[in-house]
Amino acid sequence: MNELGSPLDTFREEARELLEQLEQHLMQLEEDPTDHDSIDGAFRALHTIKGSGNMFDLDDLVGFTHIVEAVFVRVRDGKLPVSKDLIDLSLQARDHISSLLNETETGAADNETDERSQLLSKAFEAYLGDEAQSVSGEVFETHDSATANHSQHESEGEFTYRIEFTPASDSFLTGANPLLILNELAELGSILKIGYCEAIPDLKEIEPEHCYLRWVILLTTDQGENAVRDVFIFVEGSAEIKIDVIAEADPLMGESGYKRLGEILVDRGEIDPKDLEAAVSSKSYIGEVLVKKGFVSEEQINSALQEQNYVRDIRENRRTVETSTTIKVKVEKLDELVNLVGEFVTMHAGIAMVAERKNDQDFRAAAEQMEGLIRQVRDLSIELHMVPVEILFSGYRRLVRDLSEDLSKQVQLKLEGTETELDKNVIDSLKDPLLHIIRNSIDHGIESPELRKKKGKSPTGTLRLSAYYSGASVVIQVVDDGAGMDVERIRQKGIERGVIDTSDRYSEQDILQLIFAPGFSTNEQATSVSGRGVGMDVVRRNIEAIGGSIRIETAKDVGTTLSIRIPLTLAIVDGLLSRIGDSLYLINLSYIVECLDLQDVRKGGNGGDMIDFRGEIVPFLDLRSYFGVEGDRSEHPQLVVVAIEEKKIGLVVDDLLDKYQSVIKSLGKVYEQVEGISGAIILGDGKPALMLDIDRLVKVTRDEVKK
Amino acid sequence: MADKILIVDDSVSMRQMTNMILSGAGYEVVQAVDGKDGVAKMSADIKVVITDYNMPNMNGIEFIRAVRSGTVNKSVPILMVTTESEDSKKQEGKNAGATGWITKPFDKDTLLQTIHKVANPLAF
Amino acid sequence: MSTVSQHDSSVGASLGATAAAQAEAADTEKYLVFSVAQEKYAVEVVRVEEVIEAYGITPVPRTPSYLLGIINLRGRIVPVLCVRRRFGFEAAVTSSDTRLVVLQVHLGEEMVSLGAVLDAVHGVVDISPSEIEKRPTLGNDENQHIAVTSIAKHENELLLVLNADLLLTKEYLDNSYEHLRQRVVG
Repeated sequence: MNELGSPLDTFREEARELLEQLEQHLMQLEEDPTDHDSIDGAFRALHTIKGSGNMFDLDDLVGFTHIVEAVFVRVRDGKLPVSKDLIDLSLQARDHISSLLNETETGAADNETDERSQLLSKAFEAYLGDEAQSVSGEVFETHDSATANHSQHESEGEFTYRIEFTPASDSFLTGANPLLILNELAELGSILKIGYCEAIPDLKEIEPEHCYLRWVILLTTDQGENAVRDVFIFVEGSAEIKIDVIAEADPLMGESGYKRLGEILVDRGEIDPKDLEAAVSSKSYIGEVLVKKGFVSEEQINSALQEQNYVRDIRENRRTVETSTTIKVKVEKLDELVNLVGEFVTMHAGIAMVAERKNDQDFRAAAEQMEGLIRQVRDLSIELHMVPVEILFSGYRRLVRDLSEDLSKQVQLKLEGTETELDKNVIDSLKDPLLHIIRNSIDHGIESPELRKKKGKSPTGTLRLSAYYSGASVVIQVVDDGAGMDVERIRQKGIERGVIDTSDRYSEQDILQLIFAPGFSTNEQATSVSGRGVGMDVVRRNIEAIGGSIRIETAKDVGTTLSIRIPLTLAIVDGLLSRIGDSLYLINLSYIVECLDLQDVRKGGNGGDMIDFRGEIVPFLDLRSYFGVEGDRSEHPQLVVVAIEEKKIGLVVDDLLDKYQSVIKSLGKVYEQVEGISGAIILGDGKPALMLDIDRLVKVTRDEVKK
Repeated sequence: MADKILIVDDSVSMRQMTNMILSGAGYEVVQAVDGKDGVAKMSADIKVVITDYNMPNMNGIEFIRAVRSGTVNKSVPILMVTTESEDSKKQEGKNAGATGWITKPFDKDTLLQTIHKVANPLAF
Repeated sequence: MSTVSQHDSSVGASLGATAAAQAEAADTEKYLVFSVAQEKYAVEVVRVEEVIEAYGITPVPRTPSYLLGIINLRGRIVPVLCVRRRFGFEAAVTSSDTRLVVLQVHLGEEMVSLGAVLDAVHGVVDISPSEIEKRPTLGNDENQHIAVTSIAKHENELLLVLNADLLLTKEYLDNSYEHLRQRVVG
């Protein structure tokens, strides 16, 4: 402090800071013209500039500021309301004081500033015009400043109080249970209780009926100080109670965090400011120094730290509430963000692999820390990327309308659960499959009005699109009340094509799944609308590509329900890297039931194509032969047991490596028809690896067994 | 040992100015930024307190009340600094327990004389 | 890329002699010249995205043999095709001349990137429309000439002009997969 320049330099610096504060108070008053704290603050800033300026014979500055201050005295005393005009004028005055201040430095007083001073002064004097008249009323309006302050705390807005509560040592005897008081306080608002045990004596000296505890309680409430005091009404005589407002409702106050640790301790009278100053001058953490020097106990430091955090959090929340508005962001930007975060995750997975290989302790620890952070960023960006399915659903209104007209059908579209949120990428990937399904429903499902009447149905068919959450998935259903699918005909077709045999071991669901087989069609007569059913294999493929599955339920003349189950997000998948031959494959962790050494598993079934998995007979697939991989087998092949909707299979791979988190990329059109692979990832070394299509592999393996 | 004076003022330039005058006259100066700080820095060896009226957190009047009703050096002479526009506060200050007042702006001599007066009431 | 620019300059030098003659033929097109199985081909430069070394290819199982796999092209997954195999030749051993040319091709209704592994890339030449003749249709167009629709006579050399869109068509791809499925089933 003493190394500052002359007192005049100090004054200029101080005045500039005060002008900043003045501006902020004025801005706040623009929003809330009755904000007492801002009125007080504006007045005090002007008052200090005037008062201190006076000491340096800065007449121009003092003279002008005096008039502005006088107006704010009236405002503070409730004699003059804050108007838009007054704020405009005051902001001009603020700027003018700033130029006057600059003149004290340059020494150049020019006429222009003088004129401006006069002009503005006149304008302010207009606000003082009826000063004389209002004097008579002053008697009735006089408040002493203490009560004025008090009523402020009673008024709107939240305050945070620091309550230091030391119950009388015999309070247990008098029946005043401090815990009841604490509970009662908790009902007023959010609360942080910090108990002090320092007064508890050695065990042998303890008197069981004595209360040795004291508390510092931080309470944030919109109730006034009186309401807080009322809680203590029965212990007032005996207990020591100190209540301070430590955080006001003024959001501008909250901008710069909270008091320093030392200040809190001084406020509470737990440390002598001189000791604090001594401690501050040393370079270490203030808390440590204070404890080391024995000025305060560790308990006191911790308590003060808690207060610091508490107030910070409260202010943080308050700001969040106040600024919780929405902003518009271009979808492309969000896409880019999610993509970048995805790359980030992928890259980190690479780093983690390197860290693991290098076996460097520090490197690994750093990589782990980074992972936590990345996970948070990832979750947040995924959250940002969620959109309601309404966007998807409502896009089909037009389609349904046009299609039913083309086909001379009457169809009513109903949307349900439109608020359900999904990753925007998922929604995009669903657009075409849903379009196909809806077309099929209207074309093949819903009957003509005449036929419907004959069946005793309403001539208008209903097509329902609904969405709902189910665990970590979203289920989207397309429900029609049409003719339903002819399971028997699909079976015949399947037999004709040699896809199934004539035995009756196929469930209805098995048969219905046939319509998703490539090139499978039940409609001999292709229509211009849905083509020849070629679409359904593409539909399934697209849905599986985003990690989803599809189910059909149908009943003759009642209708058909197609349920699509998809993960909430497809941005990033947690997987297990496995090796088959020279290639690495990622297996989605959410499908993995267990990983075992193949040697430890008992094989059985016809030709040893089954395994005994915990008493359950499960088919397994040797991915080496399935993928036609050449070369030597691993000496210790691994078995990964995966399950889709309770249907388990074992997958034999050469080796299991690490868990790996990655963005899944589409393989594109060229590889659209590949079996058993659903996408690609990019490894840490930049090489692509493939993602196993578990859904498909489960189906293939189980179908194989049936044959 | 030099007499100790406590200055309570939220204006840093005021504190610096007063400090210069007082240090120059051989006093030892303790500074406080508002009434609360003033109460905290109050000690038995302080000869005179000079407090501003208008301060955040705890104003001059509240500060005087706090000292007078406290335990540390409760009868120390207290000078309240007011501006002309705060004439009415002088009475309030007196009621609260101020020993005297001094009006801003003041010059060096006025300040030193007034301090001398309140510090040594028997000198007159 | 650097390899290509080297070739560029050598081609540029040989072009120097005829530069005057070509000056008036303003509507020349740039073509990338490459060779596959001892024959020289040319493909419009506008279709070429990039020329890179042919490594870092991850094979994708259960796909037609002319599909070599995928590469990571700056975060994008790009499928890679072996032109030799596609044209019905034996796959060659990768040499220092082997290149991967990333082409923009139409596949069905989509425009996709397709990596094509070739024996060598020779550089870029300017060919004027007058140097190009439509290729007479041959009886059997099954293999190496399937994607060649015309021939350019350039500097006393015959260049087979490749129509990039015919390198891999949707029909051909669908057929290949269908064959594959039947083979697996059978």
